[in-house]
Amino acid sequence: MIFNTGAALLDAIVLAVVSWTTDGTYGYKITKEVQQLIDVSESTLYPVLRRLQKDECLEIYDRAIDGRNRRYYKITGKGDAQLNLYKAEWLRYSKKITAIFEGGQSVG
Amino acid sequence: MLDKREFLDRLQMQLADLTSDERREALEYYEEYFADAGEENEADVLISLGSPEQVAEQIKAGLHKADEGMFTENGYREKVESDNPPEIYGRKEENKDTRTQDETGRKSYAGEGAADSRRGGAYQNGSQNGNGYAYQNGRDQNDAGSCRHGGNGQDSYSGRTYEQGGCGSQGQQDGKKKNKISGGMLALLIVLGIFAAPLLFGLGAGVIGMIIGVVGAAFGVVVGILGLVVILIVFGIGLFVVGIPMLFYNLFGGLLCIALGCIMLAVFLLCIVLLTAIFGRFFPWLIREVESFGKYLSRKWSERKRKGAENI
Repeated sequence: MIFNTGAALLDAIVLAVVSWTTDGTYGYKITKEVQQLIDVSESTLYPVLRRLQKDECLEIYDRAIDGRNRRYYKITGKGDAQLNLYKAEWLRYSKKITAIFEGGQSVG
Repeated sequence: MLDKREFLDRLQMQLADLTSDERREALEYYEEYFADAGEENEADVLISLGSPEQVAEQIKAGLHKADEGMFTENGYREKVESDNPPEIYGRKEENKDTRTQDETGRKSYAGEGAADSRRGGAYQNGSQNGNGYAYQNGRDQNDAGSCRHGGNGQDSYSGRTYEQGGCGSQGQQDGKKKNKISGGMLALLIVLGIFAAPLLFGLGAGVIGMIIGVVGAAFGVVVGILGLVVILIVFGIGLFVVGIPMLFYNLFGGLLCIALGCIMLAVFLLCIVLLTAIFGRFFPWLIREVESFGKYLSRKWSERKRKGAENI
């Protein structure tokens, strides 16, 4: 993608990807899914996940898989509210950009 | 080419200055990451991750960012507002609050309404207030008691935004009307303030007079007690001295004199105790009280002047 993804947008994307599964999902899967959407390196997402977890937008739990623990991330109520805020902001922002591209007749 | 084990070891070393919790979290994450990727992808993951030093750098940068919070500019602005400590000042402050709320409300309305006159615009506003902002509002209310009014204002505003989707012009009129009312209220408060000024001044003079009176009374009592003390000691000793030779020719009179002298000396001692109490405790206390009251008055006065300047 030629447009760079700021911290807020990255937070929003990660929250959205995690919110797809009600049971939650794990780091490797999140990374692969985000990588299908935008160009991020494998090491970009851990700090984002950790931060969202600290902000109580994500909660974690461990599940035993193949004789080891796998950490799952799940969206919280607060994370949901935050995601809705991001969605609304994105809609507003993208609409304005689209309006500009289409000739600016509805930009006040 | 380093392998997974080596990568994790070097990462652990790079994270030495983090807390043990943070270090463990990060290492567990990347250990799991390798496990989930599978051994066949280990080499790819290692290339994609970059050096352990780079990964550690990102982890540390992310931790640093966490302290700055995560809400958008809108969220932050709200937070800064609520960080201003609410003043104990009653009505005027509250009124000012609603006024700013109205202004932001109106402003954002003007932006929204004009930019997106379609229904979509109204929907965005609604959902934004309903989810993100409502949550923040709730917290603000807890933080600052005086914010309650503002919170209500915004709620009713978000309600109106919804209706406004249908017919924009009506919404605009509503907004204007609300602002006018708040302006009228402000004028009323200013007039009230002007009328109340002489009353407040009189009240202040009365309080100052009262303080002077109390101090004067205390001074009088002290002078009186001092005089009494002098009389008591002189007469007490005098009577005692006179009473001893008197015993020889008038036993009864001598005893009476000595007894009276003793009583006077006793009262004298009592007065001394009283005086030390007054000078040692009551006076410092009184001075402290007067001082703090004076400070309170001057603070209140400068606050009022500042408020007055703001309102005009």
